[in-house]
Formats: sequence, structure tokens, C-alpha cells
Amino acid sequence: MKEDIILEVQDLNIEFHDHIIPETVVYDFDLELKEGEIVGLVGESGSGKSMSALAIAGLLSRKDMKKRGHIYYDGKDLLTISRNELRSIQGNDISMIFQEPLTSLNPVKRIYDQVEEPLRIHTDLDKEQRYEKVLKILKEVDLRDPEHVMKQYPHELSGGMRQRIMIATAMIMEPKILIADEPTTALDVTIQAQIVKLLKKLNEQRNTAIIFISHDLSLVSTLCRRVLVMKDGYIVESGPVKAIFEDPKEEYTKKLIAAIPKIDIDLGNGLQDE
Amino acid sequence: MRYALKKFVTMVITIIMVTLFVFLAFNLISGDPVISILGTDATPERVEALRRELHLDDPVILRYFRWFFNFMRGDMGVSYSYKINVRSMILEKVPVTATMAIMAFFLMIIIAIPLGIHTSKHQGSALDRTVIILNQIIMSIPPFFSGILLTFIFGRVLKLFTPGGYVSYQKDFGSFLWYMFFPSLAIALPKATMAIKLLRGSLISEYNMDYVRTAYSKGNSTNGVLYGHMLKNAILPVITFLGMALTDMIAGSIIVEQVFSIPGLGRILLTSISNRDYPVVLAIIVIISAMVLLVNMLIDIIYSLIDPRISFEE
Repeated sequence: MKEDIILEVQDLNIEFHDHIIPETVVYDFDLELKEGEIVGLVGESGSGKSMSALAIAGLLSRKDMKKRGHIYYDGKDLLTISRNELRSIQGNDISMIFQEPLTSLNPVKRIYDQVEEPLRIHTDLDKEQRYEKVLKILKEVDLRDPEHVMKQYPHELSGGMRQRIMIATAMIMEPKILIADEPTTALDVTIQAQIVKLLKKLNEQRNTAIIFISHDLSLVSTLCRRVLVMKDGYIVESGPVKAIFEDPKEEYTKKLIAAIPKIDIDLGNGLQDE
Repeated sequence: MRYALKKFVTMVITIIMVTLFVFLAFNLISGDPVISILGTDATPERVEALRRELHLDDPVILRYFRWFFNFMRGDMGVSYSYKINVRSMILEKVPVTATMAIMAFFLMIIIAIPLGIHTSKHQGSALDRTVIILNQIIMSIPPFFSGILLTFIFGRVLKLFTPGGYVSYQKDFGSFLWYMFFPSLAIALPKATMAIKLLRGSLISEYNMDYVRTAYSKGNSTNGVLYGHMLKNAILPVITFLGMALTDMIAGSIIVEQVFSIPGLGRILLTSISNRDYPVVLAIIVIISAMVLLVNMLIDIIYSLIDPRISFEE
């Protein structure tokens, strides 16, 4: 493995066996993720992008499913290590945020408990140290009045705030890799821009590598330098965002680019704060 | 505080309405307490005299108000057939029925919660399949019959208790509890099977929720996700059911008391209805409906404590 590559996915195949005929949803997925890099993963619904991401995060464990290939992290193959080893990486080195922040948060637990949970699982910090850390991370994700928010429940917060909570939870252990599975799809446009900006800030400050999954090419182009285009389980095109935008090789990529509404989201213009 | 007051007022009004309906119902059905006291061959003069003595010739509403105001003063009247004070007669029976209901309730929880969790976690395992089959069988047996079955198995075959050998709680509390265990089990079993089914289904549907995936993504173990996240969500519908089951156990102890020959509230309620012993019937109904309403209120409060999305102030 090369020096600065922290995650290497080789020939990842995901097959479902829940019907008589097995169905492959991801074919020969390859990815090399460098430290601190942001890679975009684009494609339409059902293209296999979320499945690949869930596999990397170790969250695909259905019995009727087969995974082949290798996911190397820190010299270990995440597909073959034990559940306990995998758990010590989950939420610690690799964490994930999801599309729908409301349902992704536990409705009957206070925000504080949910953000603090990775600390309780992965560290021996005492109560006060944990509190300090939670407060710090809530400030870092630009939440107003964090002392109040941490006592609230998910249903009392707005969509943007909930996604910030999700990001705070995912970032509290300062992971090497953050997988963001359509984190802005359920949010409205101004909030989308804020979340993307926040992810970029965290990436720069902490050097966390991000796998950013989206079907929105315009968002991907503002955030990522490199992009992978997926269709029907295959990676059809990959390379620097700029090259792909200016000179798409595949018909499918051209169509995706053509589907972008012609409105520029300027991240520099007063959209930073709620 | 305002909520509690409002709830209390509604409770009192409900109980008053219930007693009024019971009064009216007794007026509509045939049967005469005087005949059941004096026997069918009593002379018309004696019947007439006793009628006047018990104020049975007065209009229903007048009789109701007379009963109501006496009740408010703490005077529940005198039983027609037993000729003793209703209050002392009933207060003596309340612990019997209450013990049975509470014991049955805890037995239900002790059986249902662990089995519900276990079967949802190990779907399709041998235990899971056994429990499903047993559930179907137990659910289809009515409590009076399971009472007879339990009496036969534990009383006649295993000789763990003497059928019909009820021991009063005033005499020997330990033996009383031991005897009550079996009728409680008879009431608890069918409810427990339903609670297992409900909790199992509720937990299984929680497995597919997004927050469960989030919990795993934090590095939780399966038990961490189950006990730390899912149980609190999955238990909500079960609590509603447990509350309903408890009220059912209080009100429905009549049949099982009959099967196990336990002199509880249910038993005297039954004989008092057939004797048209109004004061006793009314007093028991007030007590049972008060217990049922109290349990319902408690369930509301517990529910709002667990689920922050539900505020019980409304």
C-alpha cells in the first residue's frame, strides 16, 4: 500500500441471495482513498453507491448477502476481521452519516446521550471529560446554544440541526474516514450549502477523508476533487472532478451533467449561517 | 398539577356515571331483593313491610341520590343478604383480589419481557418456534379452563397445592401467597403470550429502523443496540397492552376466583348480583372502576415519561 493511502477497496462485489436468482448490486468496486481526501460517489438511485458505502462502514451484515473482494484499512481486511475488531473501528476510525437525519437519530434519547455514545464505547474518559468533548464538538458543527440543544430530543430540532448532530456524533472520535451517504438530500437548498460547507471545514481542520455520496453533481463539484460515477453496480468513470465535468467520456456521465439545473450555488455568499 | 386535578375530576365523574348506570340497569332487569331475602312463600304483608324498610318503593333517582350521599359520607349501607356492613365486608376482600391481580401482572412481565426479547433476537431458533406454538395454544385456552388445567396439573398430579384449600391472608400470609400463585398464573399466562407476541413483533420491526443502523455505525454491539436503543422504542406499544391487561386482570378475576374457590371481590360480586344485593354490587363496582381508572392514568404517565414526543399535559 502506498504511503498516504488509508483505505483501499479491491474488487468489491455485493450479491443478494434473497431471491431464487442471486442478484449482484455492486461489481468490482475499486477505490483508493488518500488521507484527507474528499471523493465523490455519484450515480442514480439503485446504482450501488450506498451499498458500497455501507459495506465500507461495515454495516452490511445481512445473512442473505455475499460480499467478495477486499476492503483494506490499517492493514486489516474489513470483510474478514472479527465483529469485535470491526466494532473497534466503527464510529472510531470510520464513521458514517445518513440521508434522513430524523429517522437516523433515536427518537426517545436525548441529543447529549446520542452524541456522547461513541465516547462511551471507544474511550475511558470520565463524565466531565466526555461532557467537555460533546460541548466542543457541538460548537464545532456550528450549533447555536449547544448547552440547550444537548438536552433536547430529535423531534424538537430542525432538519439542518439534526444533520449537524449526526455530523457531530460521527466526528467526535476524530475518525480518519467519514462516509456521508446523501447527507443533504433530505434538506432544503440553503441548508444543503451550509452542511457541505461544514463538511469542507471539518475536512480541512482535521484532515478527515470523506466519501461523499450524492446524486447531485453540482454539490459534488463544489466539494470534491475526485469523483467516481456509478451505474447499475459498475464504476463507469472516475477521475478528477474538473476533467470529468469538462470532458465526460461516458454517455451516462454526460446525461448526469446535463441534468444539473443551471443555478450556481455560491458558497461564499452569506449562506453560511442559519 | 393542573393536569392531575383535571384527570381526577374526570375520574370521579366517570365513577358517578358508572354507578348511575348500574342503578338504572338493576331497575330494568327483573328480580326482587325482597323475594330473595324472604323467599318465594313470604306473605304479601311482610314483603310490603320490608320494601318500605329498604326504601325500594321510592323513585329510582331518589334512591340513587340517597345511596350517593350516604356513600360520600363513607356509609356504603348494609348488605341485604348478609346483614352486615358493606364497607367492612368489602375492605376485607379487596386485598385478596388485589394480590391476585398484582401477582398476575408481575408474572406476566417476568414471563413476557425476557421471552419477547429472546425470541426476537433469535428468530427461527428452536426456542422461538416452541414459544410461537405454545403461544397459539395458550392464547386459545380461556382462563377458566387453564385454571382447571393448572389445578389438575399442580394440585392433583404434582400435589404442589391443595385445590380448594384457600388460606385466608389474615391467618397465614405465606400459605395465602402460595395458594394465590396458581390462579395468578392462570390469569397471567394468556396475557403473557400476547405480550410476548407484541414485544417480539415490535422489536423485529425496530431492527429495520434507521437509528438502529446509526447505533451500529457508532461501534455498538448487538446487545448495546438492543438494550441501549431498541428496547425503549419497542416497549411503547407493549406498555399500552400491559396497562389494558392489568385492568382486565382486576375486572376479570371473577371467573378464576370461582374456579379456585377464592372468596375475593369477584365471588361476592357474582352472588350479590343474583341476590339483587344492590349495596354490595355498587360498592364493588365503584372499587373496581376506580382501580381501572387509576391504572389507566398511571399508564398515561409512564408513557409520557418514556416517549418525549408525547406530552401528558394535553
